[in-house]
Amino acid sequence: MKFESELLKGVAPVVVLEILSQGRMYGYELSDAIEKRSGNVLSLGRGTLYPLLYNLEAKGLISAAWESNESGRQRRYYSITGIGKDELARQKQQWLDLQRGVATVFGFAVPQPA
Amino acid sequence: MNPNPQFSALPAIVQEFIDGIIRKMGYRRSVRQEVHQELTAHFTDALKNCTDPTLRQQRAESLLADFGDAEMLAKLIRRGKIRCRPWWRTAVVRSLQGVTAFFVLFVFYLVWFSLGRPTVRIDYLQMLNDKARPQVADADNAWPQYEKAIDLFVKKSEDMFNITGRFKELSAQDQQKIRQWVTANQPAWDQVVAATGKSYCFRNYTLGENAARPILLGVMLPHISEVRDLARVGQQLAQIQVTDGQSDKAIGTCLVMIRQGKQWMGQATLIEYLVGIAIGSMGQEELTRVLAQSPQNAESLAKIRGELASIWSGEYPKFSFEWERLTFLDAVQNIFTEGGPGGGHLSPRAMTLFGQIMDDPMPIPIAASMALVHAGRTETVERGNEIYKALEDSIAYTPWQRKTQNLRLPEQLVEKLSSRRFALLRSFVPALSKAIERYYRSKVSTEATKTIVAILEYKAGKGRWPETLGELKSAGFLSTVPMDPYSDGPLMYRKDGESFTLYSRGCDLDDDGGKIVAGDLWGENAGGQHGPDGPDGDRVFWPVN
Repeated sequence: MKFESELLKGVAPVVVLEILSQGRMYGYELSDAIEKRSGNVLSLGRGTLYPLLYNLEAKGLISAAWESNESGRQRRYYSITGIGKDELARQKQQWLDLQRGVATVFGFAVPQPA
Repeated sequence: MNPNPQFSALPAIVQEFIDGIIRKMGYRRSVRQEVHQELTAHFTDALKNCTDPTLRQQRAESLLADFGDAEMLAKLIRRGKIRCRPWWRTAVVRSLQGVTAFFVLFVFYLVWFSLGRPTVRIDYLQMLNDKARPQVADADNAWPQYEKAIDLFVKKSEDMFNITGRFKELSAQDQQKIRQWVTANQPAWDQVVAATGKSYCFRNYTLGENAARPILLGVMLPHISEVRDLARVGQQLAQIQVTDGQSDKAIGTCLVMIRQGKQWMGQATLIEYLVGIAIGSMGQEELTRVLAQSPQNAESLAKIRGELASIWSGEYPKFSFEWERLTFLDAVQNIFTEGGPGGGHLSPRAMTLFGQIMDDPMPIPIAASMALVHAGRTETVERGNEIYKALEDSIAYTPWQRKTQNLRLPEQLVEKLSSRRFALLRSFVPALSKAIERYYRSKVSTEATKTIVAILEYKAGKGRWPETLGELKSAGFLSTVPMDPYSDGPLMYRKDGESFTLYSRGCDLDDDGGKIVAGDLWGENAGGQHGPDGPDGDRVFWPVN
């Protein structure tokens, strides 16, 4: 199942931060992880991934560093920063609130008292 | 880009895709290299399990389709990378962009600035000639005689330049040289005598050798020094005549010099006016010396008085800064571009040509820097007219009024001008206010000469000196009592037994009792200040020093 791009655009930064919060990754590994961990529901276009990573880097939410693996190949690894973790927590809470609100409107669940 | 081994191993379409992105990014080389390396790593990882060429090609095509449009991707990556830039680098880039933009605009401004050309619309030379030419018959013009006199004039030989002092005090040898020189110039002097018999002197002002660059400042005033030299012939002639006991002839010679001076005071330019003043003063001083050396009878003095009254009948020759104002306006129209939006600035190229005329060549960079900071045409003309009007108005005030009432408007206006923004105007104006003082000195010297003759005539007729100058007026020897421009009253007069003293208070405005200070005729070295510190003194017209 593929989501419309506008819907995906809003969730993509949180998804990237969430995956990186579990460990550092390089670009291809990250795009692969997004697909796998979302059960192929979320598929971030590769063309969108790198500009997104650079924007998150510019905001100081993630950091990047070139490193070599055992075979000597250079890859650029991305890690979540302290600011990124705080932002992730805040975004996740927003998503939960949104999810709850949307579910209530759609009648999927009974709203819980605040 | 230097492709790494992984990049070379990628399918051609992928290589082309990555290169396309990098090319379209158009950002810093190090950043492009980094993105290139990262994308190469991405595609290498994505294709690492595809060994079959066909499958590898298909997988590559699929990946590229997933990446989307290379141009859009390049834009997004570039934007992301720019955001990643540290703040200081952003500051440097913005600063450099600002400097570059300023420099580009400045270059455009300079090009526009240097392309502007002045447009000459008014023929000020013609205007000057029209104003200067009197409405009388050509036959009454003295200039043809002056031209002949100049042609006939014999210059002093070099060994004569060291001869100084009055004729009667010179050695016999030097007297002989002077006599020979004056004799050689007798034909020239005869022409001067003929010229002074004419009612006016006019010559067309021309540009002469500056005709190629018609600017009023380049108007040639040829023969001005010869005109003055001709008066020196008269001066020497008068001294010879009085030494030879021919005082009546000497008096006649002096009167010719006075007429000559007055004729040149009638010219349009300030320089000629000042030369006229100098010649007239020479004649008047010589006349008073002759009268002191060779006392005349009442009849002779009455004749001299009549001659002087005839020469100075009517208004004293008017003094004006109009020529200087027109010269300034003409310089403006030749150096500034025309007014209007974006115009009316000083043209660097025209400034260099102006410098050539002034015999003060100005390199283009200096002219350009001067032009950049100089005030515009309208402002320059406004300030110029303001100063020339103040100067013109100042003529009405005597030195005494100007000093005691601290009337320094022209000087104050000039002092207020920035030397950079109004360099042109400052180069035109400064010395002009001194000319006003010269005018008053000339005027009072003329009055003093007439008064001396009147006093001597009074004594010759009545056998005693007049008690006051007012008596001269009552007796009909003077039409008015002469006023001292350095005080608020008449010239100072005092009987001194067998003689008398007639003097002006001079620059210091103090009455020092008719004290003469050698080498300081008008008390100028006192700085025009009151008080005991300066070398005080008065301008003494009689007795003759």
